[in-house]
Amino acid sequence: MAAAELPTALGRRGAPVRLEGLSKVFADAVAVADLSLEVGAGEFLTLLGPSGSGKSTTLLMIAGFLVPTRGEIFIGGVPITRKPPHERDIGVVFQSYALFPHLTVFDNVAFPLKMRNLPAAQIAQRVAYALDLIRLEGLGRRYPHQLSGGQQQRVALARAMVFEPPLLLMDEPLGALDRKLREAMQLELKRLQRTLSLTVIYVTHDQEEALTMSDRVAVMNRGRIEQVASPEEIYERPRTPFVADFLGESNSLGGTIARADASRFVVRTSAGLEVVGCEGHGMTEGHEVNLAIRPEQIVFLGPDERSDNVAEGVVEDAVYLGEAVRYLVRLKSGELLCVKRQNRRDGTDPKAGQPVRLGWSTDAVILHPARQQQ
Amino acid sequence: MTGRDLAAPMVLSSWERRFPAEGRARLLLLLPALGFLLLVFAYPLWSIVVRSVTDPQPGFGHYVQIATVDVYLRVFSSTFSLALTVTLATFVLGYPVAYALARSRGLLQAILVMLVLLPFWTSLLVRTYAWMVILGRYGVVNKTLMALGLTDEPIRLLHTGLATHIGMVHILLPFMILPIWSVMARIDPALLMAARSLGASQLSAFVRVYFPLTLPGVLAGGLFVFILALGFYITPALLGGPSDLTISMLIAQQVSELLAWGFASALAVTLLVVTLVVILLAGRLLGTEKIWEGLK
Repeated sequence: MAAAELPTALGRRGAPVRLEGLSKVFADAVAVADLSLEVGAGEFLTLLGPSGSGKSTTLLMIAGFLVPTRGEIFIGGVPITRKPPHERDIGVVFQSYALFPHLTVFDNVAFPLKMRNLPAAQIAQRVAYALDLIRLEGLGRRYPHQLSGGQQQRVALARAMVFEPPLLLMDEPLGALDRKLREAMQLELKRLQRTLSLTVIYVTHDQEEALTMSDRVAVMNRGRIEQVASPEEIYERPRTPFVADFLGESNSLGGTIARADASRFVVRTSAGLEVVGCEGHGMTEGHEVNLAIRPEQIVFLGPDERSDNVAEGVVEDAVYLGEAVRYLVRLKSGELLCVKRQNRRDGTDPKAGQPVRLGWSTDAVILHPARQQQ
Repeated sequence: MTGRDLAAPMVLSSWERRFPAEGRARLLLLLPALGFLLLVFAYPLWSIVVRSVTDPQPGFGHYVQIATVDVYLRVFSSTFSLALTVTLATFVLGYPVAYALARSRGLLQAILVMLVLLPFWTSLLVRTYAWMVILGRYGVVNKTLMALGLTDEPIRLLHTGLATHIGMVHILLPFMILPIWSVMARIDPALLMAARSLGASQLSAFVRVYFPLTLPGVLAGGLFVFILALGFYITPALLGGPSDLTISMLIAQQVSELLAWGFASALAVTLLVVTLVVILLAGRLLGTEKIWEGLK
């Protein structure tokens, strides 16, 4: 059921998108600062960040609802920065869905086609095709308020892509759905995006959503992109402490490089713990650094087990998460480490107050140069 | 447990379901207002209805007269056309104001709201007299026109149909603006952005999305103004000419000049019935829920 199979399809595919030095300065704050980004044709890119990081502002500038203070936006190589929203040919899915309450599902989906003056017969065919794609065939005569949240979401999606826009923007489109439905919609969205080879820029603050759906993730903070990379890379090799902290959990430790050679480095934390890592990014002795270790990378060691890093401590607290248990371990050196372990129900799980040995490999240690904390 | 307690869930009347115990206690608070309404509204209304078919002699003679005599039919039709014109004029003038209210924020909005509500704080009579001063033979308008050399002698403005229209539009304007504004304020701004992103120009986004969504407010405001205009008395009596007779003026004339209480009552009842018919028709044609939606 690829788009090309349909005789009336416009046959358009997603186009590449380029943002060049995009900035938005409001009266009292810089919302987006000199942002440059390239999105490939048919790529699913997610802007991920906390609220106020500038991701929605960026989206509004691309859609044409905010005028950038500086910078250019290109779609398919053509600058669109000065075009009004209705001439940009971009599909937008809003967080509130923004379905027209006075129009039926059919008329909602037909709206962009009517605006493009397509003949009625073609409109009917294309809307039917779009409703079929989102599995809402037969509901064309309903009004939005007669649909469930998930159905409304799918209609909004159909409406934004029925005219095969070169670019589809989505602003936290799954935010209002409950967890189960959200997960189903993530898969559905991904399927549609691949089927129609849509270029998608997706805005969310939900890291799980970003990791599951995206080809690449751009993590935003304070109006800047901290890192753009594939989900794996961004999770496993975060380039800044912010990215390490925002995606998943991480134990963050400050310290100084005590020794370093070509393959290994040793960091002594302020409390005196020594941590061995392998990817030192060329930093030498005396460098102030920030360490990040993911809780799931730390394991409990038996009395004779060995590891690259070993630390002894006492379990202060154990939090039951269902699929896993999160332990807070106070090390002898004084640091508090968070350890996450699969819930195995084999009776070996440590209890609060119990002395334990922790171990983690050198690969698990993520090193960043210490930065002035803003 | 008493038998009453056991049976209670089964014999809950719709009354009890709709007003649970604590709600029923609250209903007591309505009693004074209800009593007052019965005394000063329901009872007089009933006695007017009775009088219209008993005074001076029993029968439906008054109604036959209203339905057959040309003059009365003409007064009814001219009153309806006056009400309709005023309704249209308040819509044309009020819609942009409501839009400005809905789009403004903060201090500007507060000022605009006050300007809209200001007329409510002055008496209807005072406002009508103000129009007499403005439109009078040597009023502001005529003086300005003469100063500009557009006319040599004062134009007759007061005591014309035009003066009635101007005065009524001014007084009824807030009743059109407020319901439209309340509907506009609840329209999700994302709807307009969605329309724009889907290819609608500013104009077609307004025509195809915004305006249809404000219709409940327009209908509510229109109904308000139309019904109030049908029964308007002071303004047409003071500003209008002798030939611009409205139903309410006719009723007053019958009572105060001819002491024809029975016929005046029949006119009042006819006006009431016709107004109710208009409301019902509007509800049927346009969907009552839309109108109430506009009033919420």
